[in-house]
Amino acid sequence: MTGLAWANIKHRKLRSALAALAVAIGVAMLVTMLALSHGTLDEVAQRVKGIDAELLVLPSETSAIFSEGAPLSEKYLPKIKNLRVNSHLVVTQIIPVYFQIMPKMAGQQQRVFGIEPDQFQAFSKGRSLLAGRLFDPEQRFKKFIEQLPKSNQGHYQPDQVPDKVLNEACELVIDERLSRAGKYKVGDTIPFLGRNFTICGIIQAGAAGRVFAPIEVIRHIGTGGIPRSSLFFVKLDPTLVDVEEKEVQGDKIRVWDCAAGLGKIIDMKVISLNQYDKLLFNSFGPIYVYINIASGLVLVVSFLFIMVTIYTMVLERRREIGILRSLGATGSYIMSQTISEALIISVCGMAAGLAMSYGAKEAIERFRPLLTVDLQPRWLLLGVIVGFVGGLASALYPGYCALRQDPLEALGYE
Amino acid sequence: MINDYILQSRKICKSYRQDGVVTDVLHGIDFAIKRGEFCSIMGPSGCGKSTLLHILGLMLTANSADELAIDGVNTLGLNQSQRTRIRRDKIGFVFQRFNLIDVLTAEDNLKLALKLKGKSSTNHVLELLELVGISDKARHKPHQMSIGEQQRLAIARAVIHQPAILLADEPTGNLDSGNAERVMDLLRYYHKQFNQTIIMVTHNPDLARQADRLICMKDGRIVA
Repeated sequence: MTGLAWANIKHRKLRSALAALAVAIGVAMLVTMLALSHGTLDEVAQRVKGIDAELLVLPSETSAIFSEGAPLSEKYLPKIKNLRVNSHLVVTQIIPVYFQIMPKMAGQQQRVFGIEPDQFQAFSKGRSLLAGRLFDPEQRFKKFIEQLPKSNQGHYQPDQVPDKVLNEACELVIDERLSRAGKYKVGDTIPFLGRNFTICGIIQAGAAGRVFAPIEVIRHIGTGGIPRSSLFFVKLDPTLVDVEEKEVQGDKIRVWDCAAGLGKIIDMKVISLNQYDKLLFNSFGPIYVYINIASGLVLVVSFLFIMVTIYTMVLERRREIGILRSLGATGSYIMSQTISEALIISVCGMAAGLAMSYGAKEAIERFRPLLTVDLQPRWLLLGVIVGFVGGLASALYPGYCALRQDPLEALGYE
Repeated sequence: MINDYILQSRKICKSYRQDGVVTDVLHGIDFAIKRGEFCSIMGPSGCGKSTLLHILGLMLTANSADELAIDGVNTLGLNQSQRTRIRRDKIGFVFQRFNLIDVLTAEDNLKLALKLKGKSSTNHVLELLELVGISDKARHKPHQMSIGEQQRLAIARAVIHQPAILLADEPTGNLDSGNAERVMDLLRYYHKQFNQTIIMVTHNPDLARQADRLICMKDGRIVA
């Protein structure tokens, strides 16, 4: 059935290769665009969702995505700690985080996670340090300020901290992707908050943040040592709470009930961390709309690109179609040959396009390590569908037109 | 009783319309040919002889006609696929410009023709290539063959399914005299050996006279 189609492809090798290349570019363009835009945002969501906690507490009017500074007082901590649901104490740990924005690192703005060194595990998600060590592992800075005299409000005077002590505590842990993007290594210094921070460790990619710093140091510089935070992550007791949120009905307390209970005792926004991607979507709604529109346009352009390529290819064969008709070839035979050739080209182009997408992923992540190209099966499937449908549709129309022509008219087409 | 006439037509009219201008090409042609007859149609350029041949071969549709019967089947009013079937089963075409499939070898051109006719016989293909004198070019593509060889291949393709009628439109128009003579020899051989009915259009009087019957056309009418 495909003998003539193969013969045509082999006879016009360059044209066939160019047609397949055009299909490949169309498919690769679409798949890479979708994988890049969604992958980069989803990677942020996945990193934060992986934090070893179940609830997120933040001021009512604040976005979990864009929050920074220190609006949350630690006076809430005892209330949160004493949360009871069904008369059970359900909170096992509260993890305060102080976000600060670093204006430029590896060419772009970075969000610095100010955290307690002993709570680093909750953010590293089991990732190990590839180089160096964790910042201030012995908590010297924390211990130093704890022994300082406090005011009636329990605050110390910032000028009581010598520069030497502060400078020694100004350390950062960064992830390996940021390290690769900015060619940073342990021992490099980064200007931040008017000080020089030293990179003391590099962690495997996949941790909740890209940059971590000691929360006491960030607070000291940011608020003069007043113990405030950007938000709290709350870890629930897994023996009491269905933290996996798997049980449809069971004895365990639902995470949602804990969130609702906490919302009643503190006037704060309390959300389940499992809803973070939804939150991310809401916060980045306009960006997702833009991405979807851009992806739609790329899809249309890719589709037209493939259609025009295959259409031109079929047009070139109208004389041959005329010959076949003069020999008494049926319409279905001619269409099968035309479609076979278009599909062979499209399938080769699709395969090459998917391979090009993987190549693009390697190249983008190599030269732009902070971007994520997530080649999900759904994007690959979409690429296959666009290539297949584009090839099929573009073969059908000119094939149909050729069939409707008088054989003599087609024979005269040169 | 078998009808003696393999092709009968009455009052075939054909006109073309281009840019609002209607040009009449055939004016009510009455034409019939007996089974096994070798007929040539001759006339000056533009007299309508090729148009007539293409209508007889169901490659073109007449604007009006009272009858167009091929091998006992009246083809008027048939739809496209029915016309295709008759063209496939009963008619063989030889064109001035050969119209071979460029991407296939000589052997594959013949195999494709057989396949389209719903037949398959590799031996027959090789025998036919031998008969037309190009068996050594079986694996050659048309552009690797001389024009004389291409036309002989086109004739082999046209007769491979033993059609009721072989229609040849200026089969020697592109050939030098030597090749033209070989092509005519081949047509005569087929006519004599297999009692093949042939209608050949030519403007060459010497070639036209080699047929059993000569029809002359002028201005869309048969004049002799």
